[in-house]
Amino acid sequence: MGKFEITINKKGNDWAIKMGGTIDEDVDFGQYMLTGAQKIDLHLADIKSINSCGIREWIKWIGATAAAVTYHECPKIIVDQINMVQGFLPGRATVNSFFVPFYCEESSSEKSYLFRLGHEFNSNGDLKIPIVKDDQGHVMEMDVVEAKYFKFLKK
Amino acid sequence: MAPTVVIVEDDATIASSISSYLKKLGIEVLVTQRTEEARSWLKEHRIKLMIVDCLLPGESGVDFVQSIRKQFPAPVMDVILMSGIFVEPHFMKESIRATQAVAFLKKPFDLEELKTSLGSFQQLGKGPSPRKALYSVYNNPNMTAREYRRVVELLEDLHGFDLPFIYLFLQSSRISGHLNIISPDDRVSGITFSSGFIVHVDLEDSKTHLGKLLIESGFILPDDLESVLSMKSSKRIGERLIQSQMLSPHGFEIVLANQMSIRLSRTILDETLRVNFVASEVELTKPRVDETILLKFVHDWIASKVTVDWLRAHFTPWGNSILVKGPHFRLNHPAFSSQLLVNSPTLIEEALNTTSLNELLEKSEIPEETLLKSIHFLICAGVIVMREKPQERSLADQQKHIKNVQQQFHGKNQLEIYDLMVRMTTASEQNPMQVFNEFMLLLGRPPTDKVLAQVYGEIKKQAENTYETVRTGSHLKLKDELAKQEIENKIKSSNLFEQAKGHLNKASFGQALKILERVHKLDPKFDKVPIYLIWAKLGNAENAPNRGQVLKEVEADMLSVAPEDKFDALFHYVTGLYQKAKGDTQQARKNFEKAAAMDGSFLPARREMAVLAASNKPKQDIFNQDLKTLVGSLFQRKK
Repeated sequence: MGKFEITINKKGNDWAIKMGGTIDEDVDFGQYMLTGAQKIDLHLADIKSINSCGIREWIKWIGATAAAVTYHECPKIIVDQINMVQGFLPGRATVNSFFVPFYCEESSSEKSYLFRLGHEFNSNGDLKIPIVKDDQGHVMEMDVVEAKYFKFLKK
Repeated sequence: MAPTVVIVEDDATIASSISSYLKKLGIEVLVTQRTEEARSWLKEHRIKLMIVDCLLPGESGVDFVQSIRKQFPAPVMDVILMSGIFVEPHFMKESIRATQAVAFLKKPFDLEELKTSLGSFQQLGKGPSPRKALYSVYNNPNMTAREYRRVVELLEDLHGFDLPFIYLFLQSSRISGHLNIISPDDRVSGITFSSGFIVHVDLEDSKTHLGKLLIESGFILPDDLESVLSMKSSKRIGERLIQSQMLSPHGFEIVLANQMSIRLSRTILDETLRVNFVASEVELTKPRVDETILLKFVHDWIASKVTVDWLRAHFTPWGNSILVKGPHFRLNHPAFSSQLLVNSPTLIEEALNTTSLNELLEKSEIPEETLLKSIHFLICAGVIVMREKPQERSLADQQKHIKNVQQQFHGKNQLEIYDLMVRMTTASEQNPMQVFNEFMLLLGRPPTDKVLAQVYGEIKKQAENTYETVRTGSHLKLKDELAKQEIENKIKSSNLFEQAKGHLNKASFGQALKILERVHKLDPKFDKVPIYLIWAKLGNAENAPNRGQVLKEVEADMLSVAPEDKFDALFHYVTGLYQKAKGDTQQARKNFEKAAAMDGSFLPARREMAVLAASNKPKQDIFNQDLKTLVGSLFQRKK
């Protein structure tokens, strides 16, 4: 179980926050108040796990700021919460990039591909699915239920 | 998942491109170049469509299709023929006639042509619904961890009553991680699994706060809790209590285990929800719920919480399925010694020897509710599994299926019918068109029998009207009215309930029983009514001639008490009353004592203790005693 890690870089009112590990009942977001920030870039690629306590704490924490928040490199577990839990991505927050799992039946290999705003998706929620290949050159298939996984893009 | 399409083609490139295309449409596919193999699959699987090349090694495609048509006529299985050589118009026309094929494709063809030929099959041939796939996991014992995860991910809207199955299957799959559960009002709770154990249950619920449970269980006094809470410490409440020597570590573990079981039980609700599973490394901590304990919990939830209406709708898509031994079947499986199965000792034999679930429901003498609950419990435990029959529904099967739907629709308003359609199809209730389409697929093709066709027509009309009402939003008005009615019923129930409690305390059991039955009818979810009903029934039957019958009823009623309601004084008191009525005064006394210890102000328990104590004193034979002893005993000071 990866311990929770966070680094906050402040440049005036612009904050860049990088998180990793596990978000659960042991994480005290009270220590990382977002007061004073006007623009927050959250880098989430290293988050490995989140449980229900973590989800509730996250909602309280991120919901309390009036800053413009952008989520970057959201792993699948974060995308799942964005799609399912009201307030996990507050109304004023946006997603700049997120990972999509791909799978190849022939080689049983898995890969996460980063979908980026302006490249693989746009602000209208339109998708441009890339051709992803495994190490042996097999074309991989998206390993998610499209209608469910990309739902947040249409919100 | 059961395959629905067979491709018989000896050209590997063509077979592969058709197969990939169909898989992308979500259709399950089997490919072979041998007609013999295709014949054997017809016996094992329910094949909806065959795509057959005309020129095959050993046997012509047309001859092959003709040979199987008697057993699998056109309405049962569609056929698409294809050929690159035999493409003369006369041959094509004649082949279509002889095989009753829906199309003849000239090779090479593009996939758009195939798509057109598939027509309505694309709808019919879809793989099983996500929920059906969930309940089929035990059909495939070789599933990988990834496939298990996929099954959970595919689920869109779930029902709280699906959770027992999910908990058991996640536990038996030994996956570690967090199952996050999101309620319709966006409350988030979660269950944590670690290598086959449940190690944590997170629920936002003040009723199960540790402090409250510690007091209720008699481990600490309210003052102890107050003093510990006022201490300045970063430690959790349990640690603080142990450190202050107010609580033993063993006692703490007992309460934590109770808390976990109560919270788990509180997640089993009659409401729609969403779930996601976050696979993760999780430490194996204590207390934890192992497979045996969880099986016991699942039994109690199914017996007490899962409603028969939900089970009827849940099993509707499986009506034509057979029940076979599952991967966990063994005669000494603990499920067989559970109360539900003890109450239906012939069930397993009947189930395994029936031709379909609908037939079992029709013919078995076991009461429907017990039967459905027992089957559901065995399926959750992986002891039996449902398997679709390879054959198309016979007229008799179709009759049972349609009558079953008709009975469930009977007397329901459009909102209730829509709810049933959602439950039966497990389509998202936010998508009325999907619900309607999937319901029509579930209902099946129109029957040829005239009488049955009329019933079919009526159901279809009800479904169409319901769809129209929901689509246009007209159901919202009805929903509002029903919500108002529900609130009124709750208020009424609450007042009546207080009256009933008054009658119980005055030992007017007949009055209490009548009122409590009204409360139960008005608001079936009213808290703890089943326990109060048992109290009233037992009191009312004390001197009644049918006392034996009432005791049997009460035995069944005890099963309907939700597990989380078994941790308080009231439950122990009522259990004591039941044991006393059965003549087991020793156990009865223990339960009355426990009730009194849990809630010192609960006077009925103290009263019963006094009654039992008095009845245990040796009776005085006043006619044969000497006068001194008799007078002395009458004026003896109470000890």
